[in-house]
Amino acid sequence: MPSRSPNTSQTRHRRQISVMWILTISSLLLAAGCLTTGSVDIPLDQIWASLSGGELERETWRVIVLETRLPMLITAAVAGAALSIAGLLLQTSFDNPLAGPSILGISTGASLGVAVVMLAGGSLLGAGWNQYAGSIIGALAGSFAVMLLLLLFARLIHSGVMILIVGVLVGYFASSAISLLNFFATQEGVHSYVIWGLGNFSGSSLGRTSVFASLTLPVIGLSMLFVKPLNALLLGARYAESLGVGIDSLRRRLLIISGVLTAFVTAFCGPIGFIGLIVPHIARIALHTSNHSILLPATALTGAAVGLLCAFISALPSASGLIPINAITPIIGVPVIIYTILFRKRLYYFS
Amino acid sequence: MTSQPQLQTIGLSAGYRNRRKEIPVITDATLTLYAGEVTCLLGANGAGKSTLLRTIAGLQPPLSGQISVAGRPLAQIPRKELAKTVSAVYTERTLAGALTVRETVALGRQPHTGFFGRLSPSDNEAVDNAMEAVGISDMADRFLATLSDGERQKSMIARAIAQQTPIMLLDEPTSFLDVASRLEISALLHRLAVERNIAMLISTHDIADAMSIASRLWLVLPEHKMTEGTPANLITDGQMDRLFSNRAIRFDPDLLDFRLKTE
Repeated sequence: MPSRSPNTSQTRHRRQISVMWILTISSLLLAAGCLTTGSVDIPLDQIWASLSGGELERETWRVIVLETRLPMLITAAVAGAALSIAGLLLQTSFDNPLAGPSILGISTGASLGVAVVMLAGGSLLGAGWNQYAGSIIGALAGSFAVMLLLLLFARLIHSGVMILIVGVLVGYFASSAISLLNFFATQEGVHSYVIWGLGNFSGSSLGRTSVFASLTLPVIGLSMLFVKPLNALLLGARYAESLGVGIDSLRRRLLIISGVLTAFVTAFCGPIGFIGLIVPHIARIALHTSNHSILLPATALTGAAVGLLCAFISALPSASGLIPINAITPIIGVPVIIYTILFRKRLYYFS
Repeated sequence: MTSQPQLQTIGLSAGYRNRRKEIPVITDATLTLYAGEVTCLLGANGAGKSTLLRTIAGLQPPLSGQISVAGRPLAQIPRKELAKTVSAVYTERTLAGALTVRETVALGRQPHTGFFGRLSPSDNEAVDNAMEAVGISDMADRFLATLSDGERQKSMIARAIAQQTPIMLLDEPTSFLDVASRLEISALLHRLAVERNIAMLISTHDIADAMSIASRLWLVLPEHKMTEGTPANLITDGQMDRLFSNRAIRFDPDLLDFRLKTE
């Protein structure tokens, strides 16, 4: 039996408020870091001038700041928040600390959808907005297909672990379909798909980023409406039912929200691993709670911070371009997961 | 004080239904649950106690027959309203480790709170009152995962009390507890039922315990049959012996418990 000094509600509340402040301030600092780091050295006052619309020594700096760095940091923050919320909803819904959009095969399903559009349909759609819209639709279709499969299996299998394994298998299945598509696709198609598959927050202009943000943020907002039934779900399905929660429709809705969030991020940034899995754990560890009225906004904020951190790291080796995001997320993610598994007794949640 | 029937079943069959056929676990049960009393549900493993509880809780439709709550058919009561009428306590370990005891008990207020679950002063009062009644007020800020099994079970009972329902169903609430916690919790449940006029149904394997707190017993007999009555009547009618009729034990009226047949 782990014993800890009793944690009075006041000290806990104060701690939670300071953690939220720390997260907000580090997000802002990282955002500033993203604006000032990159292959071109731009003086600080010139960055400020490009943002505020002032006079610049070189007009190209404005383009770099407004069309490359600003979209990248917005994409990173929104994608980080979206994946993290998706992860939290899946973990609570499946009662499983290892659930996440990439583990359950939802990301891979979305990738398959994008692969179909980029590799098989690429020549039909051409480049630009058409292909862009096509990728979004493909990603949605792919992630919904996987979610439908998961829902189907969830009816037959009641063990959360087994559902997780089925999700992993579905992911492998989709991966194999992607490989087959790659095998039969054109050289350029494969090249652009591979680049996309490495994950990046920097592929979009300000216009595309605003589309991404205005699609994704309302869905993140929607998730905040589920605080009450999510808390009931912490007690298990039977207790939630006896508290008046319609468990099947709740699980369906949570899965759909996670799927839509994952699909949007995957379409815009590629399949980003680990963020959805680890951020809810970081938020629980930092805030000491499973209560979703605090955990859900905290997870969104932590997700934004982690997304910005990845974007910042990816921009650090300024001369040689950007490091792919998927090369960074495991370096942050794996230690967090191992820590969670090793110290799960001390961390209480999912005991 | 004459007790009022809170819940009644008439010719109830409960069980499972698959595509081809119905698999009844309990047939033709006519039972009554009274306010302000503990009723214990006794039966062998796998006899269908949990299925009956689920059916009465409205979580599973009956195969046939009627269930009425305060004179109203159960099937017509909407889910949200049902949550204000019937609360439940199960044995399963929950995953809410990083909720505090107070947060857990407050979940019992969910049927009464608004869309975001914000607690009003009267909700907070009900939560405090429930923790007080169960004797866990001093643990309010502890995490659920740091509690002993008995303490955790008390928290779940307080959660059901905070739900303020006229009917409480408990599925083997003492089965994983040591003897001290078991007796404490049984006494606590009995007191709560009487003090708060709750119609309380407890399924249990602890016959001696049931005999000491139950005003009535519901027995699940062989061949999916059920019978009900006061402990005294059931003993004199020889119904207790039918509980395990095909096993090598018999009910001893002096011991108020079962013992091995010695012949």
